[in-house]
Amino acid sequence: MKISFVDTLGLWIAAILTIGITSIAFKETLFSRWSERSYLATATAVSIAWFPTNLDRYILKRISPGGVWTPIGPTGGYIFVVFAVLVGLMAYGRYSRKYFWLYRYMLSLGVGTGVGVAMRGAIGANFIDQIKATFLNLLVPGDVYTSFNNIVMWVTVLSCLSYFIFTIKTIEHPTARMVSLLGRYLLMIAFGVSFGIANPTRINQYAGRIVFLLQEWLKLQA
Amino acid sequence: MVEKPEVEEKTIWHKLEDLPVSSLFLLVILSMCLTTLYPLGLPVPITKMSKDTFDAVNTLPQGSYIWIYNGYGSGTLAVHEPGLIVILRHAIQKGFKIILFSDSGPIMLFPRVLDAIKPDLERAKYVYGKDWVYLYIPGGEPVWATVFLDVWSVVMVEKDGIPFEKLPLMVEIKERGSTYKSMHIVYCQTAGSDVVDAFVRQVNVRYQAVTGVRLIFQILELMVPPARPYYEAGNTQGIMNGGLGAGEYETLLGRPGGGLKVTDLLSLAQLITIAYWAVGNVGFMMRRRITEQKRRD
Repeated sequence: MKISFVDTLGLWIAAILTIGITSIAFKETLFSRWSERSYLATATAVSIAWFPTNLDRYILKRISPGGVWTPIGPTGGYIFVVFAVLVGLMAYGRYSRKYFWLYRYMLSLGVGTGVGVAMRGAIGANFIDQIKATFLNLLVPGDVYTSFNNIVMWVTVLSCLSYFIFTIKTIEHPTARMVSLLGRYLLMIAFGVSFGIANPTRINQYAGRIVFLLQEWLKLQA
Repeated sequence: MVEKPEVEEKTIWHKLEDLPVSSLFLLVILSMCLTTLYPLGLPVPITKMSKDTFDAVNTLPQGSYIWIYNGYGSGTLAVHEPGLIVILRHAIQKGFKIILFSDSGPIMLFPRVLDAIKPDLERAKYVYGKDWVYLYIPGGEPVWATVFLDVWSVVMVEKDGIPFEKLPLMVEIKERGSTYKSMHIVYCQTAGSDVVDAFVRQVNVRYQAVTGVRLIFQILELMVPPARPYYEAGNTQGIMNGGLGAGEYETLLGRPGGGLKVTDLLSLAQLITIAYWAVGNVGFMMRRRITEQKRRD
């Protein structure tokens, strides 16, 4: 397969930037800083490059009468696009003290829409379904592993919940305090697991770069 | 006269406790280089979660619609790219209709994936626009909610600007009514926990009871513990556990790829990290013991 000059150039830039950014782990140098900033600059440039596409596809072509993609929405009409553009422009109010209030309206509309959409499913997914999933059989005949897991689940749920009860006096009872302490330790174990898993995640992300450097750049095969 | 503070004598335990982090990085990088060139071929055990993810795709009939949200960037390429390639290979093998959608970043990375799946597309005689399509849809949860209700109301062109009217697959979806009726399985790849929550809310909670749509994820390893309750509660039918999950999926499909390539690297690098952790802790405990003994004396 013939590799073009642009592909080769891209390969070399990618390799140099990978080595440059990796070098931060050992010492921050001019090379590492340059690599880091080049990466950020490229990412910003790419985002800006998509701006005309978005402007053309989502606004200009829609509000131009007789355009290919009009009218929009299930109900049709240009009013939604014009409204969205006006709300979007309000974001620039942030740069002026006098018109800062416009930015707040834009922000509250955005947050309100997001919360409204999310709330529709949040009760089911994060509340009801999770409670339902906690009601497990403590003893599953013939399945010791599942039984053990279910018991651990019950103990963890109850003890962790008891840790967060601050308003009832019974929590001062020695037994209740012990349950609460158990909940605290179990929470710590859960946080520890989450923290520990961060390590393989980062190694995995970097593993791809090693494979790239050795196999794609240096052409060293196993 | 100011009394000089007592300087603690540096012992071997001090050195073990304060091993330079850069030496760990160097060892991890060297181990990864070695295992890339000389693979260990360690076995990859298949977890129930990976098997469930595979089965969620495998048990669907030919002609099912798979929606793929590949919301990843260059930072998690090593994790998500093998996951996308293996799912696409499986979907093509099963004869699914494929609808990919994402923001701009993954579109720019897609040529790499396309190169990998080209032989599969050619073998299955897949035609772009008829059997598979890629949509450029920027935005978050409110946009996805509308996409699943009526994709035509959000965008009417695919990623390169070809109008939906010229794409038989998109016309077919429109003719079937609301978009969620053309959604048999949704595969979401992401590096953001909020995206997992959003897809559970907008796909599982809203449509599973109506159409029986399945929802599967490929997320980073560190995102799995907080997402696991969704799996246990049945909100998601499977989770691909980062790059390791992709490797397991490749094993199940019988198509080794980028996922399996990095599993060896991970195993050795993890062992080195654990060894450092153990040495550091031994150093800490021994130094504390010696300091306490000196104080007592």
